[in-house]
Amino acid sequence: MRGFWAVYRKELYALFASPIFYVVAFIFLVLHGYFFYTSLAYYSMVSFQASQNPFMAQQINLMDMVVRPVLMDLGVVLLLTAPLLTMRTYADERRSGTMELLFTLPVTDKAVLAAKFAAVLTTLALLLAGTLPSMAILETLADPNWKAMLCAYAGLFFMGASFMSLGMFSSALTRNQIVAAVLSFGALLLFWVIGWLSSIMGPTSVRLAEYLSIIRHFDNFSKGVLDTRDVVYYLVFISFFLFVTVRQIESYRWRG
Amino acid sequence: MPKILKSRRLHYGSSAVFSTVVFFAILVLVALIAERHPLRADFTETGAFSLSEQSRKVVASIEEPITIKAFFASGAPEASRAKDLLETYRYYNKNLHYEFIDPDREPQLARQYEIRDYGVLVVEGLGRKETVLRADEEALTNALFKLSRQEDKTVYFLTGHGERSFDDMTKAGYSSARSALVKENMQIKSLNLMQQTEVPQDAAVVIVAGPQKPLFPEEVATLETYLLRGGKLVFFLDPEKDGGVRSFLQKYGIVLGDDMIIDKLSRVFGGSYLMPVVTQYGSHKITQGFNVATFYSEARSVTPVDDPPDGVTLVTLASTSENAWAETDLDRLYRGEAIFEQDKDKPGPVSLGVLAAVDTKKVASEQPSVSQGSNGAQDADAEAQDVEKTDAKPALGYLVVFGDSDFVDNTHFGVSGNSDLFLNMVHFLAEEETLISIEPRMQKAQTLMLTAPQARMVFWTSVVGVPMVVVLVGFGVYRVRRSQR
Repeated sequence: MRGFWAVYRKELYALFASPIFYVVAFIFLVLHGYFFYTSLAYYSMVSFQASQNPFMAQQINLMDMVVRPVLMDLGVVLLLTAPLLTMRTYADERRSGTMELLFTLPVTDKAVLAAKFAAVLTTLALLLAGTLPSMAILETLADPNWKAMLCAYAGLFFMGASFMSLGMFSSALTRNQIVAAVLSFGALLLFWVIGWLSSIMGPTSVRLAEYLSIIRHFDNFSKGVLDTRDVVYYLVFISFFLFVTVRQIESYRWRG
Repeated sequence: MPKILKSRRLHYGSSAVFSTVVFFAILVLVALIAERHPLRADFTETGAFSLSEQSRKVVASIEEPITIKAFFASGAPEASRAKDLLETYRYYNKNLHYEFIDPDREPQLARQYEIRDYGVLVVEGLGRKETVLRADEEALTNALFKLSRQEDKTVYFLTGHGERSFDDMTKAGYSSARSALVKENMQIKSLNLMQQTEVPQDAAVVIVAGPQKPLFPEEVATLETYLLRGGKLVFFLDPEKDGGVRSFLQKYGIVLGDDMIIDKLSRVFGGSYLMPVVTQYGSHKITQGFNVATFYSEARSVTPVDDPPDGVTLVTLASTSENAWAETDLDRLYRGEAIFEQDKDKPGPVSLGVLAAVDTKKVASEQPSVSQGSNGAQDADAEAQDVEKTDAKPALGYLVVFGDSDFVDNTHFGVSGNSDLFLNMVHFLAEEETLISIEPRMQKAQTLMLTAPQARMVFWTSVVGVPMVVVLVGFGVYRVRRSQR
């Protein structure tokens, strides 16, 4: 992994120097704030109604009615914004001609990939950290279940990392950033909606489609259930796309 | 392209494709292994996505494939809740499979499984099937338990006094009731106490359906012995035919009325005055969540006494509306001139179905002579043993009395909720001692009412504050970079 830190620092510098990150983060956090505020306001209204009805009060739950829907919505926002954070990773190197430079430097392709991936994961972590102040407010107002909440956050991080890995692969495919973003967005959307097929397919293909569905695995996390199958799904997803990215980058060497 | 370059590309290309395929295969293998051996941690406060200890035991004991067909309208929120539940069960045992079926899209399947409502699960396997009406842990675990238990419960019908016969296919017969019970994995047998000295040990329920002639005192005593050893007795007694068990029932706090129930409301449904409609059910597991009307043709009142004997708990299972009354002057009734007489007739709501839960330990110790008197020393021994057994676990005997026997005959079995009530009743009685009860998980109420300043704080922090920090940092970076140029 020679050269990892150097590339990592350079990547982070490039990310934070470009306005893309700030625009994405601003939009992401504004949307999060809006979702959070509206669902908390709705929860407050329902609580008011429930205070007159003890049976109903038993049914409402902060995790189910605020945290889970907000994080679900954030998943959608990530789906839209993750391609923007990954589109430049390789496409920009190729467009500006620094790819050849990278090839001649004493760093391995794997180290470059790891550094780039770690850099986009850092931005993802920063985006998610931006949502924590709201959750801290929740702590001061009520008594949320932090274990379940952290589980949901872990799920969101895993899902985001999967988005990033696919985004980096599509960025490695082309030298045009826009094309990379659209490609990864389309592919991600396909993984998102593949579960919808389940109502029209046979039982075996349903299981396959449901397994491939990227959102279905997040569902368990968001409920507060940590299941090894879901973790393994995301890890498999990430490893596969990182692997094919390396193969794709390597192919530039011998394709000339 | 030079030949050498071409062969180089072919070489690298094929090795890249090959390594990708191998890597993909490894990943698939990993995923498959992970699917086979899942582990999960449930961080919810109530453990909503884990099974209770009892359920886990039942589920773990299943060794053959079991299919659960869930009949839900597609996209219904209940369906996703049921899916969570079924997925939880599947996590504990891979032999369980489930599929969701929309009864509107596949009406032929719904008809095949006799699905009349959304939200019904059919559990199939081991050559049997169980229908689950509520998709919750208790119901599903019990269904799996019943399925995995090999022996069938036996329901006995008393014969010898002109009772309704389960072989009788005519209008007054009980053959519909029998086929419904057989479908629920029960065995049906007849019982003649004039030839047998005691109720067979395998009896889950004994039903005495509309005896025309009174039972002999010895028979009543045998039935009582059965009751006191934790047996389940059901009496369907038509007006004017008390089957000679009046005083026996009286002893357990159930009073048979010498009357016939007249219900004006019934005419609204197209029946006659003499077919009372029951829409009020007592709070008991048999009638839990039951909200359909049941109809009884020519019924007498059956009422619980106000002050039940020690060790007996009485529950009114079914009673008519306020508009009905129990007419005592039957001659007048037959002349067609029945009217409600304030001081003679019993005003509505008239109860016509009563359940008595008899604490056998308490009652048997109070009246030890009951069983010995009629059946000799052998029974006394059995009784003593039973009392010993019940020391460990208080066994309850159940006595259910309805003031009508034709509400489940072939004519009325399919009417409204009659069959459901009957099946619920037999089910409850037959399964009582083996039924697994699981407390529903109560989550603590978590209300949060925002005051206006709090709401403002949430708004300013999450919608404005945090995004503004990002804008400021971005602007700062922009300024620094400009100054560096």
